[in-house]
Amino acid sequence: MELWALTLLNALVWGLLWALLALGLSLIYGALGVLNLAHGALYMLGALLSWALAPTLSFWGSLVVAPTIVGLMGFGLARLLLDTRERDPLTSLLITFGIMLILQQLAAIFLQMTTGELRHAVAAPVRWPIAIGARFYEGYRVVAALVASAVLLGLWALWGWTRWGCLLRAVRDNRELARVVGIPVPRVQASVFGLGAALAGLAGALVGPITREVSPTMGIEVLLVSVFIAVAGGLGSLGGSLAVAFLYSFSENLLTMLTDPLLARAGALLAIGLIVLVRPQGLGGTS
Amino acid sequence: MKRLIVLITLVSIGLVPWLWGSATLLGINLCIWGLLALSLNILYGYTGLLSLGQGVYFALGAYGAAWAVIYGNVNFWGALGAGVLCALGGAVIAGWVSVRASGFGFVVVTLVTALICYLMALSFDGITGGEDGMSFRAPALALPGLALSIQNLSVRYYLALGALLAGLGIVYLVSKSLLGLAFRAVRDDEIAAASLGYDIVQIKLYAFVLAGAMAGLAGTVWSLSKEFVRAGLFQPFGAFLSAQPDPDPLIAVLLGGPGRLFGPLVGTGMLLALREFFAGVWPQGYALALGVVILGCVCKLCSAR
Amino acid sequence: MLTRRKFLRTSVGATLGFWLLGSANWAQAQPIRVGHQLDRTGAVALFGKWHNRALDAAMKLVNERGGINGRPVELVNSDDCQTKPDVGKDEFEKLVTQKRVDFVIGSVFSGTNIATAPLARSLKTVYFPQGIATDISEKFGNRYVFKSYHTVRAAIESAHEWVFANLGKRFTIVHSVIDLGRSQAEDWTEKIRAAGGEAQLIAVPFPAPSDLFSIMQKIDLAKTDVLYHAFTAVETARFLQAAFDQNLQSRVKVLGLIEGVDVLSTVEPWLEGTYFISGYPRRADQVPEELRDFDREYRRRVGISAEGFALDNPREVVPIADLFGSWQAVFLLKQAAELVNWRSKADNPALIKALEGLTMPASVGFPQGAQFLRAQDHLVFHDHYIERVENGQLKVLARIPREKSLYKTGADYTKEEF
Repeated sequence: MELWALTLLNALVWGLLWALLALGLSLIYGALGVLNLAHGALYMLGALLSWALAPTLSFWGSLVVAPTIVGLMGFGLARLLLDTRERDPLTSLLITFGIMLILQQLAAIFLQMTTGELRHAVAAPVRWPIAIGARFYEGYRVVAALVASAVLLGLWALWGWTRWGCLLRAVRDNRELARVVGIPVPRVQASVFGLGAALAGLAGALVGPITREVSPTMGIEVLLVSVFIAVAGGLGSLGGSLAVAFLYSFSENLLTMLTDPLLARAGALLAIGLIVLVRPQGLGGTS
Repeated sequence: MKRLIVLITLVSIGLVPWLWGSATLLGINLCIWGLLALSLNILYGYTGLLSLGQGVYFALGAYGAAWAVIYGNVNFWGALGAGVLCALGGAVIAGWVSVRASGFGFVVVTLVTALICYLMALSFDGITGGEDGMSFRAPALALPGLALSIQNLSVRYYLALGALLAGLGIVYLVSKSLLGLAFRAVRDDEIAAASLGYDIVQIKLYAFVLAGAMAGLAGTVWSLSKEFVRAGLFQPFGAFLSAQPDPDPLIAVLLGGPGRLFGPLVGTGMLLALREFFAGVWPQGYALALGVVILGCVCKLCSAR
Repeated sequence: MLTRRKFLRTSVGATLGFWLLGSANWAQAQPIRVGHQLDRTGAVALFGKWHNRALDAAMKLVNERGGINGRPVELVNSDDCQTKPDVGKDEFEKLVTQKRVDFVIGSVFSGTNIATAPLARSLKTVYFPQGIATDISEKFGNRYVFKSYHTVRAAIESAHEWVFANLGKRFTIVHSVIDLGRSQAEDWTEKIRAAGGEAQLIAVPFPAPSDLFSIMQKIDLAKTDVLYHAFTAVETARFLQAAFDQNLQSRVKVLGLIEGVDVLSTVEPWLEGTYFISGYPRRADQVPEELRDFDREYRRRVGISAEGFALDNPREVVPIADLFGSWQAVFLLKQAAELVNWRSKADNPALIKALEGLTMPASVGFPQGAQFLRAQDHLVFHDHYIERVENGQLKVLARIPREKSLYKTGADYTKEEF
């Protein structure tokens, strides 16, 4: 019994973290029409920065500073490379792919120079074991989940109740019209890219102490899964991403208890693939 | 004069193992990865379909040949046929689903396919060898009157060169044919092509299967000449997980110019040269340079339009 | 009278004679080239770097003592093998056919070893693979492949009696699905069943999933005395940390091969109290009395401190035991090549016959102690140690003589043609 309780708890935690990642992708797609392949690299950057800054700023300080840096970087990159020019979506895809490669290699060089290794262990910032029956659950994961849900709530408020959220929805729904009524579309787009990047960075900073290591390639696996979640949730839809993130996380965690972890992941991906086939616009998307 | 230069080039390409022995291994790599890039060019360059999972058919070709040798104990041509058929079958199944998606949908579906195939390959490591991979003994290349051992470097070189020439021939013929025209019509404007009566889905499927089979041929030659396969071949972006990645077909196509016959080959050559250059000096520098090259290419491509 | 014909004949003869003489001299002064299949990147990069240092140090020592048959030895590095079998195989071919090396010391990655072995045979080059998966000496070896350090099966054979007597017979084995992990799981299962114990197997994909939490949930503590782990170095650290979160270290005995933590510092709380099977003590004060002189010399030459850290970087842990494979391969070569007066690769059959069944006394070349090379499977047998982390330091609990690791082999390479 306690096994299932622990598994469900873990699925909930990961669901929230996946949602954080997929939402960033989804927001960026909504505003820019770009599938951001650099998302995994931005996530990795968040984890790396928070690991590097933790000794000076404390972990909690780095949790604020690292995503901010990643977000600002995202803003800058978007202004530089993904600016105003309306272009073929595939071209933008390749630009983000190039950004991914560069960030990944810069991280590799940084790690190699500072530690001489490509992977580095991350210490848990706190150790609060929560006893459930004869087993333990790491308290830090619950804290990470709480942080993630607070940010998700904040995002929801931002989206629905602020002027910025209003501008954002306008840009998402009709870029031409938004420009005509005087909305500074490029700046809104860049700020959304920055926000999405910051979300990825935050997810990375939160996940680092859970997976216990940072490496330049840690973003690739995460990128693929979050792309699928974002697409199946409906690109540009917040509720859809959240729902699919939970679907993915719960099916993966529960299947892992029944079969081997690889087949569990393949099964969870298959579920997502079915959603895409049955509803090409995604769960929360409008056609 | 021009004809003479072409002739000399062709002859020297043919004589690489004798003239310039140390370049033979490099030449084999150029042929194999060039063929893979050639196959992606059919999809992206001619038909406008951006696939991020072309490696799957390469891997299927490699495994098809390996399985045929290990379990079927077939001869060389049997292995070659099995590899290409395996990739072709995979491409028909995956293509049937993928080509129905458009734009990002297609990109995502090809990625999902690749990831699921990779996870399956890892999971069923009893038959795939997992990340350790599997070695096998490639059968001798049997031609009428002689049997050539694949362990011989020059035999491997001519095998790869032959496969590449076959690939080039097919792409050339297709690009000159009605089918090639249909590919380009779909690339330039789907709606216009549909209004002319083309069955878009079917044409895309043809391109997908043709590209898949050609990638499979590249994979088959790769596995037969290395006498080795590993599950990592299936991994999307797998090429970027190591310091000196294999030349990525997509980047090769972009570098060489999509939709040109020799473009992918030139691109692959540039990537290999870049890699060889960095290998001795600074292995990590290669992928960094690659990223810069992509950004440069894409941005230039856009401003040109 | 000197006719034109006579003049021509003498001069041609003299030239030829001088040339032959010169080339013979030249051949003698020419160094013996030993290649290294070096992984600079990938999972075993850290090991590759240290193996390279050990080889360099070993060859310096050999050259100081007059080389092999009077010829100096020269280390020739391959380009990066990237911990990928196909790349390593290509690099091997380049070493032999382009860089003209006489012998090759292999990669630390078993997959690369297995892929390369057939090529060693067809290129008739003696190859010393450094991976420890059993298959390289049992299934995929051949007459040209020699293992100068233990394999998984030898380590398990030597340790199992002690482990069953002192730790228990009910195992949960969590293993990576690569050769390294799988071969440990299979061999332990066989030993455990034979001793009347119980073995639960949990296979973990390679690369391991980023969150090991759900895998930890599969361990049934009620049926476990010994929690055995079989991963590569980085994954071992993550596994033991995840086990520590579940407080497993205090509830069961945690055991593994030292290869899993070879590059980790032992002061971590999640290593406290864990047991390891090793081929050599990490700390100098744990080395048996009679080997200490050799040990000091070995550490000084490779650059390892008495605590097992790098001399030039006191935070870097050296995989000290693992390096013996490369270090000893050089001295194996010296001993056998001098026995048969090896001159060129044409003498390889004689060299191989000399290597088969060779016994080596304890010396600086063989600081692990006296050992021998079994002729049938080309595997070196040496002593083993059981070590435990106590107060953050590895302490030797038992030394197991090499005779205990002599398992029955199914291979017999001595019957193969050259």
